[in-house]
Amino acid sequence: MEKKICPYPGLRPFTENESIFFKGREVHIRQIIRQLEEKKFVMITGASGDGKSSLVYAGVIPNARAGFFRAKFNNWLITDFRPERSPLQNLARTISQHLELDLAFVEEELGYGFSALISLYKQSKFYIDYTSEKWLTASKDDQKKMKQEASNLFILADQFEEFFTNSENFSNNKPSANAYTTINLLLETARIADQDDLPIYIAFTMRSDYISQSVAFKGLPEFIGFSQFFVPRLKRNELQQIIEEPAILSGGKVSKSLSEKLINDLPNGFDQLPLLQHIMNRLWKVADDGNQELGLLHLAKIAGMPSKILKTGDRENFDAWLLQIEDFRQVYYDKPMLTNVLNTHANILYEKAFDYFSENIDWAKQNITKADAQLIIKIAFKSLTKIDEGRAVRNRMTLREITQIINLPHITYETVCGVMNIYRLQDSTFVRPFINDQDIATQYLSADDTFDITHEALIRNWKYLQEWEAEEMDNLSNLKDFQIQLNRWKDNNKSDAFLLAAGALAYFEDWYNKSKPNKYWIAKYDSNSFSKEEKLENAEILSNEIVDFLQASRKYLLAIKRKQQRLRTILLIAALIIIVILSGVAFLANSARKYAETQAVLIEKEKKQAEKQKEIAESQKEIAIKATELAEEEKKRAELNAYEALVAKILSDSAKTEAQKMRALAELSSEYAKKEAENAKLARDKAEEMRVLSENERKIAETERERANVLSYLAMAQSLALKSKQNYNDKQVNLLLAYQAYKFNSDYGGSEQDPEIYKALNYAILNSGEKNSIPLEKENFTSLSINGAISLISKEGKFQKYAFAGGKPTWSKSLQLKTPVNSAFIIDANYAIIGYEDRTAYLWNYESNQVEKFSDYNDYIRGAIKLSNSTIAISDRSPALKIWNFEQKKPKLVIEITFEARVNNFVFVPKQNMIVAACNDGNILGIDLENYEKKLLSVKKNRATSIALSPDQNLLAVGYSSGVIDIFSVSDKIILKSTIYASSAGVSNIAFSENSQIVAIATDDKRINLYKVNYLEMSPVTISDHEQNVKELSIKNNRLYALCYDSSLRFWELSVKTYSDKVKSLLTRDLTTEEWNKYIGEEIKREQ
Amino acid sequence: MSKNVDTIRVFLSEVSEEMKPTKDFLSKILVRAGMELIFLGPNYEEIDDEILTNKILDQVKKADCTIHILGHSYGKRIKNQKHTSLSEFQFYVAQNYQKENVISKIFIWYPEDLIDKPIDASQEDFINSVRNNISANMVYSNHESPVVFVEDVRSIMLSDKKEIKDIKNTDIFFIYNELDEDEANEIVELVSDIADVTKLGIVQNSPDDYMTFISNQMTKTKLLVIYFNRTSAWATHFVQQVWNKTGGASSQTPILFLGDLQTESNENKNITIPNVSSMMLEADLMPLEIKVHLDTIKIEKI
Repeated sequence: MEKKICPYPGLRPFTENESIFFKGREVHIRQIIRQLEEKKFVMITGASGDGKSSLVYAGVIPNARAGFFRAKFNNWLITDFRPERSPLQNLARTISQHLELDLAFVEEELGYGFSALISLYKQSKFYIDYTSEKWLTASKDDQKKMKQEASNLFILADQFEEFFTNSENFSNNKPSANAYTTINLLLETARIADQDDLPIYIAFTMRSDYISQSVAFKGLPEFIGFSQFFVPRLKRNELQQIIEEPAILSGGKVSKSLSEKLINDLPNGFDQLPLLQHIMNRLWKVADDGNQELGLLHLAKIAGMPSKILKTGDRENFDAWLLQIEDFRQVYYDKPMLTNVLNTHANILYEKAFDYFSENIDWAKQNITKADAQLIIKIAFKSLTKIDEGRAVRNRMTLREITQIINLPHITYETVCGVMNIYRLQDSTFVRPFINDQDIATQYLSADDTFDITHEALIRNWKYLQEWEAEEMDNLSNLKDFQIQLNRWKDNNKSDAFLLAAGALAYFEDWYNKSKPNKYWIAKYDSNSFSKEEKLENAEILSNEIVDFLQASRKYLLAIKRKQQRLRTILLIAALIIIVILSGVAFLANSARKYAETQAVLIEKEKKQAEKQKEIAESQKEIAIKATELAEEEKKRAELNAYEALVAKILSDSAKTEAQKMRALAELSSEYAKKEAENAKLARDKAEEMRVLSENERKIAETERERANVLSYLAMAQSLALKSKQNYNDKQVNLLLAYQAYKFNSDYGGSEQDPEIYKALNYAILNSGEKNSIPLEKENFTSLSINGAISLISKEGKFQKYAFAGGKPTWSKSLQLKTPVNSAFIIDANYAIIGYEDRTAYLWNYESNQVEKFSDYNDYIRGAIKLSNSTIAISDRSPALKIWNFEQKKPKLVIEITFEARVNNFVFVPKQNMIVAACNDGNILGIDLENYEKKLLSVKKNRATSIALSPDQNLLAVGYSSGVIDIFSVSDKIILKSTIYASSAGVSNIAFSENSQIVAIATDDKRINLYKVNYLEMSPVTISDHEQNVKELSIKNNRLYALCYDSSLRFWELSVKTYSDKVKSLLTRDLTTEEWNKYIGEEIKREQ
Repeated sequence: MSKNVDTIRVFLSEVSEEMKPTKDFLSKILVRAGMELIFLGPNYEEIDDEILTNKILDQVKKADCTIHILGHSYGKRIKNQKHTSLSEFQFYVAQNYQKENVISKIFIWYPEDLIDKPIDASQEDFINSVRNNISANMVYSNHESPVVFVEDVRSIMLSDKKEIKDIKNTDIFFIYNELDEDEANEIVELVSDIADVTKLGIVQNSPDDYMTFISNQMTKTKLLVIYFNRTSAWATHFVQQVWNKTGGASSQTPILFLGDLQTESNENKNITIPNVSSMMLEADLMPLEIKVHLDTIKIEKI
């Protein structure tokens, strides 16, 4: 039996050669051709997976070639290209090839932009100018030959979004020169072709989500507006054609049951077509290459199916088949669904890649394991995708670049190519370039060949790749977090105070060791550099800085640890010494005490002996006296007795001296014992002092540890805040992460108004579907005032009051208009000043609906405020302020105060009875309302655009066109307090909170910054979710209101706490353990 | 012939008790989508079974398509139809009628939110039998949204192919590019002696809707010949597009792709597509080759 051609291309788009099987889009092909015939240009847009490329390659181009396209000539030159990383070179290559011109010449010519491409075509042999002499003088035969050769030129820029997704083309919201020239060439060519009716046709295909970025290229939005084709979703009957008719064309058949089942079960939204084509391709193969009728049984074998749905016979066949397939495949059939097909197919290839490599690749070293092969696949696919504004998109890469990111010495680019080949086979076509079965050379690629995932449907439907991408997203998020800390360290002269705290260091070291971010990986995410070399150079610097920062942080923490250990050792030794000393001193003191006691006993004994001796001496003295008396009586006997008494006395004195000596010794011992006791006390005091010191050190260490802990929680809060702004399927995850970020921040003493936490909470709320715009009637509002209600005046002269929740106006009055309102100012609860387009101005008592004209007034009002119950001040385009009195209802001009330049904005400062004016020449002037004298308060080069006084009248904020804000303190004098740089765009509006603690600054780059007045040096909270610039700004009830140029009224809470309460109320569940571990980490104790 | 939406007449079949609110809702949407509804009529539950059977057939005949809503209970049974349920019976009446009237279409709607609910065994058998026997001109939808279902009904009913009247039966339909007109005319002249020929010269800048004409003429042609001499770039793509739009390998009309060897570069312009014979010949041999092909077709048909 002849092998039937498979009419379903699978994941890749249809090629021009496969147009014979391209069905279901006939109507759309006709519509695009019609647009090209009429306008010479069409931008084909549509969602990813809507088949834009197939529509052109297999629809428009073959139909044009076949003559179903009305054009001047019979033949077609199809010059198609993808912008990739060098659009101009790619365009030049295709033009040179088809117009048969020298490449270098074409590149040079195209580099001049504008009509260069038209000139090349007109000069080529493929164009006939029927008015030229060459044509007019040619013979009929020559003319026929010329006609046969003449060709229309079709230029196709496929995947036009690559002008935005590749940083070589578009970086920092700015196109590269190369990209800009390419677009200029193409648009200019389309313009001239249309103007001169030349047979040149230009088509771009682009994902519709990039439409808004096209404004970066001058003229492009206009062309898109001029001729765009949005690829429609297929209707049921068209899907049926796509399923059934290619099989019929190829001589096969699809059962109606299968076709209806596929249409019913196909997921809506993204990827419908690529998934369907892949399923059909698999079904064709399972159905014996189309030799069997494609039916439900075949679908069951590739997607799974509850067997009760199958016919008897098929049911048994399927159950038996299921039993004999490999174990790893069984699991894919547990939950039957069509998206299984792609996932299962990719997984089967993942499992079989190593065997395929071992059995089929003989030109690469066989030095890898199955785990190596799977690692290569993982890193290769991660390299071939990248995160672009939270979305995973395709990312072309050379084999060399992928091998460099893998960065393992035994893995060469040949190995990577060999392992990845299974995904390039004609049966799978998941990665380009595909292997052609007829050309063995296509198996082997050079290091500079580029890999590209065939379709993003693979990224969105292959579960492994989704997991790898989540990992990649985490890695990228960590790199960004890390860079913030690294930059802070660098900005502070690499001060130790800005090194990583212990918790953060452990976290980032763990990340670094796991993800091993080498320079090639880092370069992939450099969106600031245009050239590859510059990217790599910057990535290398960053890579080295990462290592330096980690090392410095580790070294510093080790030093602190060592210091603490040393201190602990010293304290331990000191404590031991003290204990020894104290023990010694106690022992000595005890010994001394005992010795002193012994001595005292001895002294007492001696004393007693001495006293005894004394008594003896006394008694002997008495005996001596008696003897003397006796001597007197008995002279000789007496002299003898006296001599004996003298001897006795001498003996007694000697004994007394001995006793005194003994007493002195005892006193000395006692003194020594006392001194030793004092020493012991001193040592004890010293030991106590050391203990207190050690305790203090311990407390300091404890505080440091707590601080490190706190810092790591605050860092975690920041990290979670960033993570919460990513795009999760379950919006509860955004809410939970934002709330947890808030919890960590508030529990660990983070700033109450932390900008990241604020943004995270705000984002999570908006992302959950909550709106921050107040529903109003559709009017062109120009003035806003918020007091007890929201008051608005429209260009059509309607004054409406709304409740804070919006809805229908609660009160409304209208002016009788002759011309539209140019500007309006609600100056109090009764009056508004209205300036009309015809430059007249009126004072409108909107409560009584009475209108008084400002006589002889002829300008556009730019500002108006009430000074007292009878006076108002008005500014316009003239360099003057006009003060009017309206006591008599009819406004009368009191005085016109003139200036050097126009007054852009002004305020009244009641406590100084002064007007402060912000002028166009940058001067800030105070006007004393007592004598109308002017006083220069400040001078700057840039225009002063906005001014506001705080409700407590203590602060004055002035905004300039340079984005700078000056804050003045107002007391008896007005003095410049500080200057902040809010933005690179000009300041349009300023508003203070009611407690004067927060100042909101709206700038012309669609941002509002919220500063805490007492902490102006701190980073502000930046709001940027409004779509248009702010016209009016107001704060009421701790809520910021902004009337934008699209007449929408947005609001934001000033307090993070209010947002956190809101987020809490939106939570329907808690973080699961798995989510906690994934986003916060197992090491952090789980909180409910 | 393409239809106008307000001419689409829909027979909305009766349903089991629990699906009545769904049917009412769907009927309102169908009306707002511009379609005319035909029902079984009031009091059908009280009509004698035999009369009811005829009544269903009468109503189905009046309609361009029928819609059958499937629920999870089997519903009321009809005695004289082997106790088949009313829903199932209406479906079979429509199916039998469709076999003789291919233009009529049958739409079956089994809303997705019912799929996992408990179901009567008889009803499950009925649904499985419907699902496994879907034929051409039958649509089986699970879409949960009745609006999407009605959109599908409307777009399918409005998408019938354009038909051109006054197409004549012909043996050979001969197509060429205007740049090869002289040579083509010579061949057509010779072939006209032996067979009935309709010729068509393609002019690049013409506003004519060639494809619609070709598609219609193909249905009344025995052999399509695409001839080229100096226009091979056009011809190879042209034959592919014609093949694509006229049934390809399954088409009843084979294609003979003839290149003139007068232009040397045509030697290697042969193409390989099922149901297409590709030949590069001298112009003199072409009439004979065309005749051989035509004769072969005639013999095969006999």
